[in-house]
Amino acid sequence: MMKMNSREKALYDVQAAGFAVYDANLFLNTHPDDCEALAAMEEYQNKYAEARAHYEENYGPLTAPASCTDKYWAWVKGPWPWQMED
Amino acid sequence: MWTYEKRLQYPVKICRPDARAAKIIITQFGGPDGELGASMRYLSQRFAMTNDKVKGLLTDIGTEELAHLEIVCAIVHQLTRNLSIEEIKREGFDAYFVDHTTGIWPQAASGMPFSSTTFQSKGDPITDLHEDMGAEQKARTTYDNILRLIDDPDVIDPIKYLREREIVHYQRFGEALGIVTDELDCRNFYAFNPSFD
Repeated sequence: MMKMNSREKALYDVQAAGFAVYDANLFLNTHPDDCEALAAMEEYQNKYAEARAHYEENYGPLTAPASCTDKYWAWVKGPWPWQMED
Repeated sequence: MWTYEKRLQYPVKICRPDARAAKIIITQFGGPDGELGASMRYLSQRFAMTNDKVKGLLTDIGTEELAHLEIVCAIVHQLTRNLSIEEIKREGFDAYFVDHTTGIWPQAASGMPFSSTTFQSKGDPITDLHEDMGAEQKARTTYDNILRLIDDPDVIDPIKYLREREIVHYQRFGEALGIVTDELDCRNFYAFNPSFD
């Protein structure tokens, strides 16, 4: 993996935690009463929330509704996800 | 209703531009077995489903495919950064460039524009889920073929991720087919179309 700056590292943690949630989501769609999966999902959601909170505190909003307190609409601030930071 | 998270599902960071690779990889955006087609297929088919779990699965996989087409486009965007006109000509990117510069437009590697003729939404759960299993395999083969044609580790990494996801989606659609047939007459699954009759 390429060397990551601190923002990229924080984002990677969100991506990893978010992935666990999403994959568990798909599994639960076809196995909605699987107790182990439900318990794992609970854990994954907590980790995801933590990772998101850490990213958003330091680097800006991940969803539009999250950015309404300042005098500037931080949602539009770059970099956008497809950009490379030069 | 959709919300957008301002991140890619998987990181993409490509240091070395390569227009030749971009021409090939764009097929997973707008090509016959690409992510846009996959997303539209699943998001369209879900309306005819009768089982809630299958409605959920098609919605969620259809949504994930939108996140995947975003990754493919990010790859193509980064591969076409800072190109010189000489590179554009030498790497066979001039035909795309004349119509789109280095903008992103849904087409296959062949140049064929994206079309819904590459997928079906048949309004029959058994038929649609078989289509979906086939679609995931077609996408997996396409990623296999892309991996044969590229050698940059920065590009290989997200492509391998996308390929893996196709295999997981295939698994989920197989389970959905079982869920649907479990609700039908085991003596004849085709006795009626649960979406219509």
